[in-house]
Formats: sequence, C-alpha cells, structure tokens
Amino acid sequence: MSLLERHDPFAKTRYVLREIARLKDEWAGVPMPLEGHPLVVEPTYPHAAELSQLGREAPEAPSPHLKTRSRFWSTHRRSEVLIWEDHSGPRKIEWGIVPGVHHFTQDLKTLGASVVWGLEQEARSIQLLATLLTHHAFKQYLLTGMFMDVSQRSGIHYVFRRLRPTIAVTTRNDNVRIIAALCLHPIAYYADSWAGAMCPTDDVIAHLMLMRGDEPLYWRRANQHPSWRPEAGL
Amino acid sequence: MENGETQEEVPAEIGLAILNVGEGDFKITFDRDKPGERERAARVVREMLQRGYAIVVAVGEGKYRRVKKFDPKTCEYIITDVPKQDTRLDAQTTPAVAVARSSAGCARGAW
Repeated sequence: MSLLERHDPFAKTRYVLREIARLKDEWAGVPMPLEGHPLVVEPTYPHAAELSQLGREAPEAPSPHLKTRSRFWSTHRRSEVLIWEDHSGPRKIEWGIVPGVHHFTQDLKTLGASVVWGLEQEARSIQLLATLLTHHAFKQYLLTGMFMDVSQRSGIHYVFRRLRPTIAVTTRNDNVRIIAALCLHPIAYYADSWAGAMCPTDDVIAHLMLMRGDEPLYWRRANQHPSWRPEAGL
Repeated sequence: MENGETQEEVPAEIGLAILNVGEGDFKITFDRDKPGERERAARVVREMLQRGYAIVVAVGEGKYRRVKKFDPKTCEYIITDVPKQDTRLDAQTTPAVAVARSSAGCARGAW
C-alpha cells in the first residue's frame, strides 16, 4: 500500500471505498466521487442521488418568462438548435445554438477522470477478458484497444472499444451499415467524458457479456446513438 | 505447500467473476461440501439477481446465457432456453460473469 501510495495518491481512497463496499455487500463496489467530475449514477444504486450531486453545480433556476418550443440536432452546425418563447415583453420567438460534444474536450475529461482507476484493477480485468476471447481478438484488443465479435442470435457484428461506445454493424447483402453506437457503464460514469466508474476493460467486459448473454437486454440498457452524433465517438 | 504437495490450480475460468469498481473483478468460488461457503455463495447470487445484476454463464462452445434464477439447495444456475425449458448448471464449476445494473452512458444532447 505504501509503495502504491507513493506513486498513486488515489490508491488509499480506492482501498477505503473497496472496504466500505465489502462491509455493505456492494458487490460491484462504490464509485469514487471526484472533484470537477460529477458522477451520473444508475438510479437504483444505493445513494445514487447523493453521489450524483457531489461536485455538481446547482442548476440555474429556469426563467419564468421563457418556454422551450423545440430543440433539434443540426448536422450542418454540429450543434443543437434551441427555439424558445420569450414572454418578458411582447411575445417573441427566439432561437440559439447549443454546441455539440467536442471530442477533444471529452478526451481531456476522460484523462482527468482516469485517476480513479488503479493499474491493479485494470490488469485484473485484462486477465479476465483474456479468458473470454480468442487469442486473435485479445491480441487485437491489447494492440488497438478494440476487437470484434458477432452475435450468434442476430448476426450483428459488434466492435467493442476501450473508452468508446460499442459500434453495432450489419453486413447484409455485402453492405456494411452502422446501426447504432451503444453506450453504457455499470453503476456510473463521469459526466462529459468516456470514463466509467469501473476501469476501462471492465466496461468492455460488461458490453461483451451483456451482448453474448442477453442481447435484447443489452440494447434496452444502453443509450443508442446514431453514427452521425458526436456521442457515438466516431 | 507442506510435505511436497502441490496445490491444484483453479482454472481462471471457474467461479463467479463480479465486475467491481475497486477490484477490477473479484471472484467468488466455493466448495459445495463446505456449508458456510455454499451458503455465502448462494446468498450473494440471490441478492445480485434481486438487485438486477446480469449474471452471464457459458453454456457451451462460444455460447452464453443470462441466469434467470438460482437454486440455493443444489447451487445451480437456472437458465431458460429456446424452446422454453429450464437448464440447470452447476454454479461451482460453471464460469460466470456478473454485471451490475448500468447507467446508460453519454446522455444525448448538450452537456
């Protein structure tokens, strides 16, 4: 522990949370709150509301004079267009732009959140993943951060990626088409980032096992992003 | 070990691997001949299923299924296959991975 602490200032917090999880029979562990990185927690998780509020700024109170009429995604602007009614004076319809996700910003947030993961945890996950894949797929994952698997039920090809949504691809009639990008994290993830509460390979294993064990459940639990949205990570 | 005995290695695949924030994954194995271990394993699996964990087991070459129920008396996973019939798998020897309920990631729209 002292060796770890010399090099990893978060090791002790990780250890304490692990012990708390063991005492409370929280089999998946307790997500680590991190300053500047609010957690988005699965709602039925114990103390989800409290954990989600830690480090989160209080939302601005909505103006009583404004009412949202519509919002839609603009591919041209790579932003959301927001249209609202303003009743503060003579009734007006206004519109504005809400910029979409910028990958570099998200990458930096992921880098910041990575302090919650330990090398020990990631190493153990990689060992578990090795027992679930062929040598070829495992080698691809170690070298490229991704690998492909095919559902025996649906025939859909899935490209599993470290720290990115899984890409579901169909290959009917020799046409390759992306159906959706599937995003989910066991327990929680850090807002505005690709980082889950669990180490990256644990997220990959979660995607893989849900796909293999119960594909409909996998699709129900994941957020499904079209390939052209920045949230797809493409 | 003492007296030159060698410890039998437990294959890495055996047991229930639970994806865990603080441990990467932690593995539960048990000896059904030891009542304490058997009861603990049964309690853990039962509670996880109640809390919505997805427990996925290997049922054959490259085939996996989600566990629907668990029999604490026989320590067997019960899966329902197509056509609808229950298949029982020995929890002591069947490799399994447990995944907690998920927070669907990357909420759409402005962040």
